[in-house]
Amino acid sequence: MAPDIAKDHTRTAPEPHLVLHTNSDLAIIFHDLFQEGVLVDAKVGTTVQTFLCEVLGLTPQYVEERIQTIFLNGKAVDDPLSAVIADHAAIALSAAMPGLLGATLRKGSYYAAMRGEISHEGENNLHPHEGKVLLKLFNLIPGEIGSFILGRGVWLKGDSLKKFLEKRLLRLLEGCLRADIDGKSVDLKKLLQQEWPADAAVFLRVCFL
Amino acid sequence: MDQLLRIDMGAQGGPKVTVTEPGEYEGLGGRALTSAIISKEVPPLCHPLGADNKLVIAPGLLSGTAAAMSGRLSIGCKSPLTGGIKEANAGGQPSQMIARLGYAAIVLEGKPEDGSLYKIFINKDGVKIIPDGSLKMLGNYDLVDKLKGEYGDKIGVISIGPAGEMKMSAASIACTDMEVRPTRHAGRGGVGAVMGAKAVKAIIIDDAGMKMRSPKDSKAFQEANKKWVEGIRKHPVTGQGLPTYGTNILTNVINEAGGYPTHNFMWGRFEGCTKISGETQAELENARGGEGSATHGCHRGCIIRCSGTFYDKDGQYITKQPEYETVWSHGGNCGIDDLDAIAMLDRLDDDFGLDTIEMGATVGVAMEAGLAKFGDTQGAINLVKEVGKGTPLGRILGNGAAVTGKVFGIERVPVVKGQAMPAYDPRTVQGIGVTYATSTMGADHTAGYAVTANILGVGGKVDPLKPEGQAELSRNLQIATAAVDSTGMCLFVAFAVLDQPETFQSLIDMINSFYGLKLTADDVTALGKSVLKNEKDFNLRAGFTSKHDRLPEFFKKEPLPPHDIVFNVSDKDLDSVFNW
Repeated sequence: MAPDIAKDHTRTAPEPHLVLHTNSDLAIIFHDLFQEGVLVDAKVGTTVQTFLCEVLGLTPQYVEERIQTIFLNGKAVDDPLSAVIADHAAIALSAAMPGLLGATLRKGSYYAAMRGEISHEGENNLHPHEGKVLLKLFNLIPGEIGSFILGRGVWLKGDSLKKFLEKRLLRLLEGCLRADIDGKSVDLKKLLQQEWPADAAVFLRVCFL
Repeated sequence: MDQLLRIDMGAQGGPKVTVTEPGEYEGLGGRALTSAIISKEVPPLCHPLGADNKLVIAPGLLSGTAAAMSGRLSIGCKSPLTGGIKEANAGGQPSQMIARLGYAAIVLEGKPEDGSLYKIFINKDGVKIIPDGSLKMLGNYDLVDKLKGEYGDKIGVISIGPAGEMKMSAASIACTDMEVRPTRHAGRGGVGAVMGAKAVKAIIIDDAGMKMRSPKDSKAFQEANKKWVEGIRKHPVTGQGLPTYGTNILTNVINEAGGYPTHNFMWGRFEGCTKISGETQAELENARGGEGSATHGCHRGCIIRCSGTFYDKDGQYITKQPEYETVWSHGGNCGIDDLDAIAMLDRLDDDFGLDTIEMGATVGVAMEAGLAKFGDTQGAINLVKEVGKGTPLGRILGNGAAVTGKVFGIERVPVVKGQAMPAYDPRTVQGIGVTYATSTMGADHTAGYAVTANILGVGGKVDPLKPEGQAELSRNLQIATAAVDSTGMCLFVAFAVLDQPETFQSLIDMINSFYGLKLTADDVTALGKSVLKNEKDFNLRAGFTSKHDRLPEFFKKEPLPPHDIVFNVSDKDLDSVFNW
C-alpha cells in the first residue's frame, strides 16, 4: 500500500503547491519520481482499466499493447477489468520486459501459473469515490505518459521533493524557466532553502513548454 | 564447421593435436554438442579437475554465419562446483571466429604433469601450443593486453584469470568482446577451474583469411535472416527495452513483485532499488558518455545491443555495463546501492575470472556470517580482492556460496546442487523455483529461459492458469532452452519468437536453408529433449538422485516479505519434471 502522505489530518495549513515551467527536454529528470512513486488524485473503488483510461487518460489500445505488466499492491494483474483499486493502493506500470520473469509477469501471460502466488485475484466490489493512488512508472512508460501526468499534478512527500531538487537543481537551473509556490514566483536557486513539510504532502505540477 | 579439434594436454612428450571428423556428433552445435561429448566420453565419477574430465568449447549451429545474434559460445565439462554436467555460455567474438576456422568444437583433454602453463594459438594454418610461464597469475585484462602485443588486435581470446589457475569452483572462462576486452564470461559452474586444471591459460584465435560460413541455399538463408532481423528489431523487448536499458531493466519490476532477493535472500524488496535500477544506470551512463556507453553489442552481428560500457565519473573505462544479475548479486543481495561500487566489483570479477552470480551470492553469505556488514561496499570489494590474491579466506570464498556457508556455519545458503541461485526469489515466482531445483545445471535461471515453449508446442497445450501446471511449464521451458542453446543464438531472441510466430519460423528457415534440412518445430523439440536426456543421464551416473532436485530448506520455512510466502511446490511435482 502507498505511504499515507496525503492523509495528514492534523495539518491545518493547506499543502504547498509547487509549479515548475520547464523546457520539454527536461522531462527525463522527473522520471526518478515515477520510479519511487507519486500520488495522484483518482476515483478509487474502480477497476484498474478505469483508472488507466479515465484517470490517466490512456487509450484502451495503449493499455492493451504497450502496458504489458501491471502490479496492484505488488501483485501481478492479469485482467485490468476485474482488479479494483482501493484508496492509497500502489499501482506500477511497465512496458514489455525481458527474461523469463518478464514474460511470466505479463498480464495474461502464458506462464502466469509460475507466479500464481503473487497473481492478483480479481474482485467485483466496485464503490467509486474520490481518493489517491500511488503510481509508479517503469522503463519506457514514464517517457511516454509521464509529462502528461506531471502536467496534471502529483503529490509527493516533502523530503522526497527536497531530495529530488538537491539532485536535479543544476539541470533545473539550465532548463526551468519559472517556479511558483502557492501562486507566487520564486527564485529557482532558493528552492533548496525552501522548507517543505518532511512527511506531509506537497503538490507538484510541471508545465512543459 | 565440421571438424573436432582435440588437444590432449597430457600426452606423452607434450600436448598433442588431433583433428577428427565429427562422426556421431555430426549436425550438433553449442550445448547439444558439449553435452553429447561430455555425456559419452567423460566418466561421470571422475574428479572434475582430473585428467579424465574434458573441456568442450563449441560454437552454435549458426555461429560464423551472417545470421544475426548467433555469437554464443557453449563451454561444457563435468562441473567442479556441482559435480554434475555443465554447460556455461558466453557472448563475445570467439564463437564466430572458431566457427569460421572450421571447428565444430575445441576439446581439451588430459592434464599435463610438468607444471607448465600453456597458451594455444589457432589460425587458418593450424594450432600451436606454447608453454608461457610469463602468463602465470595474470588478471584477464593484463593477459589480453599482453597477448594483443604479441598477436595483434584482431584476435579473439578465451582465457582464465588467477581464479581459474587456482582451480576455484567459482572460476569463469572469459571471452573477448568487439573491443578485445575480456568482458564476456562463461560464468557458471567453475568451468574456469577445469581450464586451469588443463593448464591452459589462454586460447588465442585468429580467423584472418577465413570467410563467413556459406549456406547451402544462399537466397533462402538471406531472406530468412532478413525476416529474422526485422522481427527482432520490431519487438518492444528486443527493439526498445533491452537496447535502451539493458537487462537491468528488470530491477524495478522484480522488486515491485517482491521477488528481488535482498540481504542474502532475507527480503523480497530492496530499499535502494531505484539507485541501481536499469533506468538509473542508463541515465548515468548516458550522462557520462563515452564510446558504447548505454547501448552496445557484445559481439559483431548483435542487433539487440543490450550491453553498454561503464565509465567512472572521470570518463575512465571500468567495465562493460553490469548486467541485471550482477547488479543484483553484488547490489541488492549485499545491500549495496552504489552503481560505481557494483561496476568495480564486476571489473574485479572479470579480471580475476569469477562468476558474478556465484561471487555476489558468496559475498552475501559472508556478510551474513559477519565478515562484512550488509551495505558495506569497501568490505565487499575487499572480500573479492581476497579471492584474487588467493589468501586462505579468498580460497574459501572463491569456491562459492555453498563452501562459504559450510565453513562459516550459515544456514541460509541459496544454492541447488552447490550452485548459487540467480536474481529471482523462488518463493515469489515458484515456477522458476521448479527450474532451479530440477535443472541439470544446478540453480540456473537460464536453464528455463527460452519463453518459446508455447510457440514450439512443447508438451502440448498447458492451461496457463492451472496452478499445478508449474512442473509442466518448467519442463517445457527447459526443453526449449536446451534447443536454443544449441543454435548459438542469444537467449534474448526468445521474446521476439514468443510473440511473433513468423520470427520463429524465420529461425527455423535459417537453419534449414543453411544446412539443407527440413526441420520442423517438432524436430527442434526433439533436439531439446535429447540434450536434456544426455545431461540427466550423466548426472544419474554421477550419483545424483531426486533428492538433489530440491531447494534449500529455508525456502520452505521462511516466509518472504512483503508477500510472506514460502516455496510450496511438492516434491512429487518436482520429480515429475523429467517424466516425458
